[in-house]
Amino acid sequence: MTPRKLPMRNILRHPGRTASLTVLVAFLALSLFSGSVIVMSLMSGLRSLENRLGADLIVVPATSRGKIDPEKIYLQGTTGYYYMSASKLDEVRAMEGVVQASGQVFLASLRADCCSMPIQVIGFDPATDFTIRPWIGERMKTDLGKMEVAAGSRVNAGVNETIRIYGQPCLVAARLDESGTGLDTAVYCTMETMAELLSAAREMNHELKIDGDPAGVVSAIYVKTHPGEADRLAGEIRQTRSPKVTVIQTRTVTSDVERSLGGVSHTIAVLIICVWLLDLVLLTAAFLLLGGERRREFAVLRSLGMSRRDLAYLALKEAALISFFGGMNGIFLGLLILLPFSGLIEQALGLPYLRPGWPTMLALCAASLAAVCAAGPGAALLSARKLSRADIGTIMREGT
Amino acid sequence: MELAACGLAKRFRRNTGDANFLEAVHPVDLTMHSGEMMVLTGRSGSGKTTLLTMLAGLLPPSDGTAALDGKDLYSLSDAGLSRMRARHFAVIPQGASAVTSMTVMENILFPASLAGKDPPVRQAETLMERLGILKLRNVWPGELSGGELRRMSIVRALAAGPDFVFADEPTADLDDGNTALTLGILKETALEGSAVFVVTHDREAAAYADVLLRMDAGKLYKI
Ligand SMILES: Nc1ncnc2c1ncn2[C@@H]1O[C@H](COP(=O)(O)OP(=O)(O)OP(=O)(O)O)[C@@H](O)[C@H]1O
Ligand SMILES: [Mg+2]
Repeated sequence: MTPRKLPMRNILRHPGRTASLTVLVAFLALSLFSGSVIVMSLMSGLRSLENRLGADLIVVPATSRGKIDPEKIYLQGTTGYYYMSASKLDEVRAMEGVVQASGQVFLASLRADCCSMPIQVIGFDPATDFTIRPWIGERMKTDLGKMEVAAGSRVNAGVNETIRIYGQPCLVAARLDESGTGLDTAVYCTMETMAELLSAAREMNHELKIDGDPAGVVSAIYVKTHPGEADRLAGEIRQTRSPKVTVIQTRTVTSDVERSLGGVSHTIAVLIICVWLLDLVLLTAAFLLLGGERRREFAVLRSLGMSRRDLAYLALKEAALISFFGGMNGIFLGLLILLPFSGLIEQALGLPYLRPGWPTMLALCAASLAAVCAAGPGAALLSARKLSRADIGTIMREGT
Repeated sequence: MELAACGLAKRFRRNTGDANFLEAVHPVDLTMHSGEMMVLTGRSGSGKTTLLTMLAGLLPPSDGTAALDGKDLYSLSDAGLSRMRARHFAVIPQGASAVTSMTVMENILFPASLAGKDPPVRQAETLMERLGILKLRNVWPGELSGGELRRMSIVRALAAGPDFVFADEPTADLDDGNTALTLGILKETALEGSAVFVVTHDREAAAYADVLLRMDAGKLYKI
């Protein structure tokens, strides 16, 4: 046995002491790591939402507002369907201040076609689209052909597999990157394909009310405006009749999200600080308490020729090792909670949630571990100081 | 080598009735020489342990010096004194002194590794054999009796051949056979060139002493 190996030996020979300290340290790591992952996920969720939305205004039929909250489709992936005549699209496109306008058609698939839950089918017009194509383009070089779809990251179908939507076979031509929003549970196709799917859907589902030609409807119109014109145009579009429409200003959607995100991040930060303060106090007390039992042990080591510095080093190295174990455990626990339950977390928070990529996750692991490995020995400092300062002569005489 | 105490004294803060301090050790002049065995006796509470720990570099005195070959121990830095203690001193403390996270053999070899010496496995085994604890070499101290622990700390102190040995009642919990054996081993250690300082209540110890001392109420007398 050498002085260098002694810290590890002490840890292994005192499992009870080690376990209780490890638990306290693990809490530090767990709170810091999972807290920062959640905050970062929310931030990248918002950023991706802003990027994906891409439009300044979204126009949907007014009647749909009662049944379905369109904001929910983007934030949480609620599926729904509502239609209006495509003539509305031409009307909007002709307005002054509109840079671009493109229609999309929504359809909720039946369950069991491919997936355990109903998925949202979104038809878009490749010629005018500016919200979906930039995103699909990242993953797909060629355009979508007839009866081809691009699948969101949470749709359970691989490239070149065929899924059936209302009985119609569709080839999965691409899979999209995760966006952290409801868009991840959707598949995308061209208007041409969508018309086929709508006809099939109307055959099977009589509640689906489409007047006239399925090729002549849109569910939503995405509008890009000249800078500063969004408010005026929103008002102007709201004035139009047949049908009456609801206009969503995406800036209000994202700034709403941003506001609640700020609140949530703030709460999480306060929580982390509280957990840390409480835990550090507990940890310091635990080290002091456990140190009391070790006065004699340290005095003996001192009588054998160890210096105060050696003893302080011993105590701090033990604390550092325990912090490392505890930190690893806490982070592992954090991963166990965060990885499988990110869907639940998203639902609970009601905000777009996009987990950072693995390089960032690894960096967060390392940073949390480093913070804990500094905090643990920090909490042990007082106890280490007391133990190494103690007057050996006195302790040695304190009976057996 | 020699260790010279000059006016070495210890006062403890304590209410004794007539004063608010206790003169645990009155100024002591004393020199330990290599090859010499000193035996100190005296009543309980007379200050024996206090004197021993001051000589062994473990308790700073209130007054006076303890100098190893002319160098005052307590003028050294803590690191310097610790290094000196590790290299030259060995202590057999009065109470229990096992490091519980090390086996008996690891305890015994630990001081040598602190001093940066090779592990004295041979000497350790010989001493353990003589004191009848060789078969306990891989046992944890928590499983030992008081007498076995005492013998372990004796072997731990002597295995690496220290220049100075400070033994505080090393035979307190030993039977007659082991007492005689231990005193004999301490005497051999002195004959091999160490300076040995033994505090004991044992009457037989006087027979082994080169210098016999007695303490009474903090005052040291040569006999
Ligand atoms: N740290 C201390 N503070 C106050 N008084 C102390 C302290 N250490 C020792 N004393 C007192 O000093 C006196 C001498 O103590 P010491 O331990 O040296 O006696 P001793 O001769 O070794 O006794 P024993 O034979 O019982 O071991 C005792 O009266 C003791 O109570
Ligand atoms: Mg004593």
